[in-house]
Amino acid sequence: MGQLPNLLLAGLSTGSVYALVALGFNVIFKSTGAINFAQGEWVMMGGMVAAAGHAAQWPLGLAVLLAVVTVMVTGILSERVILRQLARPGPLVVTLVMIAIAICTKSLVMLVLGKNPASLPGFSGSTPIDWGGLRIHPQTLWIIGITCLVMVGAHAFFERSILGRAMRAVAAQPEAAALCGIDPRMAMALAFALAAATGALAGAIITPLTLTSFDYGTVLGFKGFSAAMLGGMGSLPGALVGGILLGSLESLAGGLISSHFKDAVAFLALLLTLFLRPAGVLGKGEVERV
Amino acid sequence: MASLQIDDLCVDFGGLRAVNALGFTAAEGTIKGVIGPNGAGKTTLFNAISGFVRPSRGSVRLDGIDISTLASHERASRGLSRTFQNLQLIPDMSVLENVMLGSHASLRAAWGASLLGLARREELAAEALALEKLELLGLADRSAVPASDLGFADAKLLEIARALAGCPRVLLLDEPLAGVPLEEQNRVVEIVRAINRTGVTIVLVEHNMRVVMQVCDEIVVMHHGAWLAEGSPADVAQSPEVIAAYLGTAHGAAPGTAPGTTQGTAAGAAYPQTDAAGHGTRGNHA
Repeated sequence: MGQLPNLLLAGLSTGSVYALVALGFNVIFKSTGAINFAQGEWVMMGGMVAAAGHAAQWPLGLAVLLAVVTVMVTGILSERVILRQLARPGPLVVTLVMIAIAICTKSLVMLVLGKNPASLPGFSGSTPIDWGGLRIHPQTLWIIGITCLVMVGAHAFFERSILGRAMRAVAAQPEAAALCGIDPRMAMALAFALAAATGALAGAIITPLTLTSFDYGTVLGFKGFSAAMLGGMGSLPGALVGGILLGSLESLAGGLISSHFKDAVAFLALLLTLFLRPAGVLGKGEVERV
Repeated sequence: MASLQIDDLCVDFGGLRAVNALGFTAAEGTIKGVIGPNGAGKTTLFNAISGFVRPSRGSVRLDGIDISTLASHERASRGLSRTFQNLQLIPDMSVLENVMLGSHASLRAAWGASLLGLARREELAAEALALEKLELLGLADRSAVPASDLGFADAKLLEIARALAGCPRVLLLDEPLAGVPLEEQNRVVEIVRAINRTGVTIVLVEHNMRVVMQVCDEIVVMHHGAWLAEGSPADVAQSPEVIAAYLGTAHGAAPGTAPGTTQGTAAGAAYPQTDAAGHGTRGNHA
């Protein structure tokens, strides 16, 4: 009966990654009202670029940094080059355009980096740590630690920094924010940069455990979206709660029922959320978007 | 100090012309009142000046420079700010944080620099400026309270504080007294005057005629989106066209010639919510 703690630990680690992906969904949802369906592709791209960097003999840390910067630039370019051309970037239009960008990103990665699965070594090797019957892959600790750091950082950014508060103002009162001198397009570009960077980081830290390939993004994006909905779209703590909850449920379902059932959990969770509590676990009754 | 000049301004919503060939100037350092019956297009005018709606013709000039093609945030950084008829505060931010938002118009650091934490000194300066504005509006002791906890009058003052944090040269006030309890109205009026004394040109839309007459240097009257009359409060109050517009032509020759009181009564009839204020005797010791 050492199974349950191990399953929960595995759930915590994949859940952390889902939380990071959900965070990306939330940041863009907050600033544009749109669902960014390219988020999953950014995660995949993060893993692929980090793996390519590593394959080119870059030090691991530098390869991860390369991944974050590359994907961040991709995110900014998506906003600058494509979304900025839209006369009125309404939520639905942005969502649709992001689906197109997702498909292009996926194809681009496939063309440049190839169709083969890629991998990264664990940041601190891959010898499991035995901790009272609990077998912990060291990468799990990296994932949980980095997720905690990013979550705390995101919270501090949106609560404390003048820039983060400006982004919240654009989301809550766009007209008043504009007259405060805040450029709404700048806020949008910043949201895309942050979401892309978070996604890339998620992709880079999960790759040592799961491998990655050009077609991993769609599923990961869907899981992250489900986690965001489960926790409450637009809520930062919601991303964390939704991610961990979904990761744990998935891991338990996979371990206790059947591993074939694993991917269905996210669909079920999404449907149940939509049926029973559309605002999510931490949502405020209605989706807040003006 | 700066002047605001509107020329031949037209705003169309589909087939409806909400603002029709309107022109007026708010001279440097003055308070210009914009009045007119409900639906006259006053808020649309403000929206066009601040860049939320595109005029189909005409221009808006700040210090002689045409700003009518600029985006709202660019107008803000050139010294234009405004408050809103229905409050647009960020409820889950503190009073101080709301005011600090306003200072973006005067922040010089690039976004990238702020993101990397290189603009710390400027953020501290923004905080000091925000506190100073809160002091001016008498809200300094509530700076840490969430904006949603403020009473309506204080919330309106908070919007003004936020607008001031951008160091505007021209400030548009959209009904700063609407919904403010009678006993607090004089506080708002005194603050509007104090802001004006610091050199800020003010354009004021307000339904409370007593206050408009008292506080404005000049008034422009709008009717059906168009210019109807313009001049000193006394001139405007005596203008037969203005009285007709408010009361309908049948009452064009309404009795009473004392400027302030006539207009006060007229407005009282047209706008029930100002009735109390129009006839109120207390609180007006200015």
